[in-house]
Amino acid sequence: MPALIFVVCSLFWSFPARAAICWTDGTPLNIDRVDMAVVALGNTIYAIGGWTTDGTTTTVYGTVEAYDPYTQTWTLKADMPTPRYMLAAVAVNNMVLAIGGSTLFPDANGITTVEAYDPSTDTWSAKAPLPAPRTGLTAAVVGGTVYATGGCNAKGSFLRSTDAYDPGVNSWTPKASMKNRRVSLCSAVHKGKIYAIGGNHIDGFLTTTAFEEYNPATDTWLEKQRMPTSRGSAAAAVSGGNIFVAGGMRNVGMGSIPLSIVEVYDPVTNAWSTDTSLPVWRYGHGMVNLELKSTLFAVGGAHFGDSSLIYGDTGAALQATLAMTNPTPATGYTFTATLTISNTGLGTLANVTPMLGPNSGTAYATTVSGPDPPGPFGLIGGASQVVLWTFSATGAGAVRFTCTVTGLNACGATLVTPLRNDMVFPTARLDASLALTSRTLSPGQEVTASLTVTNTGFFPAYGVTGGIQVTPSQVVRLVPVSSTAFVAVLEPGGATTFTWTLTAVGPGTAAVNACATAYDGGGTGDISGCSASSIAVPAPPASGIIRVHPNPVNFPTAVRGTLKFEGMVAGATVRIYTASGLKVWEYSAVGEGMVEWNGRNLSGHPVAPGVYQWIVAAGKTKTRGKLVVE
Amino acid sequence: MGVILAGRAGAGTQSAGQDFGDEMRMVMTARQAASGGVAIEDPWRQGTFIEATTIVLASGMRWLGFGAQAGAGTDWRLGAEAFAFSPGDIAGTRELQDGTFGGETGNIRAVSWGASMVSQWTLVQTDAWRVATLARAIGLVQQLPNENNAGVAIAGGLQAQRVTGSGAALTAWGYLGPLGSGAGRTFAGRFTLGAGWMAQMSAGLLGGPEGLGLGAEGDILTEALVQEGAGAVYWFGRLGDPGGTLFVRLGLKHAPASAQSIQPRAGLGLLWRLPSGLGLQFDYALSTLGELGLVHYATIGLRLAPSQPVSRIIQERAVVDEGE
Repeated sequence: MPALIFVVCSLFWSFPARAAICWTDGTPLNIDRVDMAVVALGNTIYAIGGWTTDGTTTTVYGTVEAYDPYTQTWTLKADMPTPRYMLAAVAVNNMVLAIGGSTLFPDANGITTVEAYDPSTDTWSAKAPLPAPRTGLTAAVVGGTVYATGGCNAKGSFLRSTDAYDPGVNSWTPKASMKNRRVSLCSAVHKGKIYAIGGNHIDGFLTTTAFEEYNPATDTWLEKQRMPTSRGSAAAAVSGGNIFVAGGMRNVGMGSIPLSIVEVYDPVTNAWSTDTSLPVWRYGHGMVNLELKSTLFAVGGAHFGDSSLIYGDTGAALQATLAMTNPTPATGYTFTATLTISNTGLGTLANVTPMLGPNSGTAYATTVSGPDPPGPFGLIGGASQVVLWTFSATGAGAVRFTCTVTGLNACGATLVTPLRNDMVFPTARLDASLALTSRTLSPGQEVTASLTVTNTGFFPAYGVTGGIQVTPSQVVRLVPVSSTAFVAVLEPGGATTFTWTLTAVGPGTAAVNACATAYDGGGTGDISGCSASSIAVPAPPASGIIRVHPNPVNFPTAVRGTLKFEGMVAGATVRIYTASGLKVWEYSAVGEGMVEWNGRNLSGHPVAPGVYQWIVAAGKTKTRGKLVVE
Repeated sequence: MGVILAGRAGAGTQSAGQDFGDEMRMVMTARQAASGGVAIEDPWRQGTFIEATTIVLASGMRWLGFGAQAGAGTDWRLGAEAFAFSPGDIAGTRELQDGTFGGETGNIRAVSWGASMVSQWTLVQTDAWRVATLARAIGLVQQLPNENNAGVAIAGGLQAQRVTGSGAALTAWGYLGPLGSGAGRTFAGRFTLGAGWMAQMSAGLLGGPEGLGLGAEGDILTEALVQEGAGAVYWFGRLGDPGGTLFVRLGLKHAPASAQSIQPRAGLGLLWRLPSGLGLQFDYALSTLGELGLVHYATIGLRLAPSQPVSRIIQERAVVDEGE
């Protein structure tokens, strides 16, 4: 992967002194490209278009890749409809605007095409074209207006002109021209002004140090202190109130040499200085600043020669996670912290050191062992290392564990990953769970209620008692017989069960609430744990009414796989006939209540789907109906 | 119905309720139902006619069928039938997750309908004998609230008739089937044997032209279930003559697996024939199904072309008698 991101890390800007840049390697683009456009929208970087060659075949791209700084990954997005290079791109109105450029290679024809990318839908749409073709231009946004400056027109003439695009009305209007004609320039925006930087002039062979400031409010260009190094195809971005210009190409005689030098312009003093050069030269790249990370990203471009765009080195990246096991009182209060350190880049991390602390609430936990391994250790790209600590909970309270992992990248910069994990160790705690042997009763039926109480705290619970409340008593009442009434000590992790017998009285629904109370051995006072349920007592069908359900009946899916005849009296007989009168099933109820038919005939075979007639005969009284078997 | 195998649209049975075509098992003409389920008058009917039959149970279940037949003399006959079953109102119910009653859901719909094609081809025909094949193809569809079922079946058999005297003939028949398949269930096998005798008399009980028919039939069903029927028909008038003919029918059916093992049957019929041969016939029958109540059968038929409700041989003998 040739195209890279270079990340400026550990930048702590303090005017007037500025810390030196440390460039480190980032995640490469998926597709090698030069002369593409790079733009940041929100916290995402987009690399658009460009070209590459394998020495024989040159490809002009419409490819779009989006970089997520959180995951440090490039993702392919919808291709730009018009593949091109030497285009300009800006972010405006939550869209990315791709402006002008060339579609043919090596004859860099200028085009007027303007296309907009909507990240929310991952789609492109055409916008008003430039008034005249431009390639090798630069563009910037001030106050919601897009300014396209310089470049080369379709006749090969270099341009000074500027066109402004209003996204609201989708139209271009001409603005004041620069002092210097140029192509392959770059630009940056600072405090509402646009700075046009360098480029090539005079047939494209000569690079320039030209540096002009455009004020959109007055529509005027003003020449500022020239850049120390003449260059074209460079990239610029603003960070910390300064304009950084990196890389590019400088002409020497009739030839050119690529640059790695980084020069910094201070708008306050109108002066240039130099900073740490790019690790290697590059041109035709892009550069943006993401405030999110206070970093500059130099993206893509060429690392000479003309046919070779291959440059492969990616940086080290430090990631870590901290996971804590929940201490279980039954296992002696011990728990483990698992720190997983990963180098998600390809570069090497050195001197990786896991450090625990400072922690708060350490009175409630002590370190038994760890870290294991203690570090420091090295971590090659893609490798992970698990570091373990073992702790013992010594009391009840809140503990905050903090953990820091440091490592050195190839640039000598220290990467830091802070982590945190909060835990609470309870004193005695009663977790209660109520179980009923049945939740639907007929009047007179009894049910057993069981309340299982577990001490999930770290101290014993003393004097554990259980109680149950059933309301209303007209529906279900408590049989005045209880089981375990008292448990003197419930150790951490221990459990006990209280049981009661309930009996159904009349129709309705009864609420059942059971609680256990105890004294907290950790000294916080009385504690309790409760659990609730309910019991339904359906009203019996009126005398002589037989309820047959479900109808239609699908035996495999019916509850218990049966058809129910509710309201049977003792001795009543159910007979089921087919539509034509053939007897299918017959059963005499032994007692009152429900008779269930499993859908099989007197020979034990499943009956066929269809319509059936049923008769319930109780003495001389016969109740009849029809049912459907599916 | 009453085309050829009327009464056998029901697809047989493996055992009670095993066949999803059970709803069609009752489909038969009022003539056949009154004669104990024995088609004394129908096995060798000729001519072109259309008929409609309705059957109503005490439970509100209803059957409705239409049949039509055409043929060429005694050589062949072709017929078609369509029939439908409606169970009437059925209250839907649901159950709760604990298996208790969850309330009513309103009426649920469950209908069945079917169609069949029937044919009869004469194999042997002499002055005294006639032997013919019978064939029938049946299709049934069952539409239930949450599923549909369908099936097809075929049935076939032989009939033989022997002239036993002037205006009298003895008929015997044997059928196998319906055999076929349905959704999730197999059409059950069924073997039927029957015999009947009919005679047109010049002077009967009332001294005028009258007739008598007797018949018996037995079905052997899968799982060794057997049901038998026997019946008699007596008519006042001469079959084929213009004017009216009154039919009185009695029968008995023995069906041990049903709601009433011994089922008495009775029925009346009236045929009114015009000199052109066009005739209108109405038949009614009453049967009992034990605690399931009474079953009413009614059949109305229109004879579009000269034909006889009994065999061509009987007709021919009757014509000879008239000539004499």
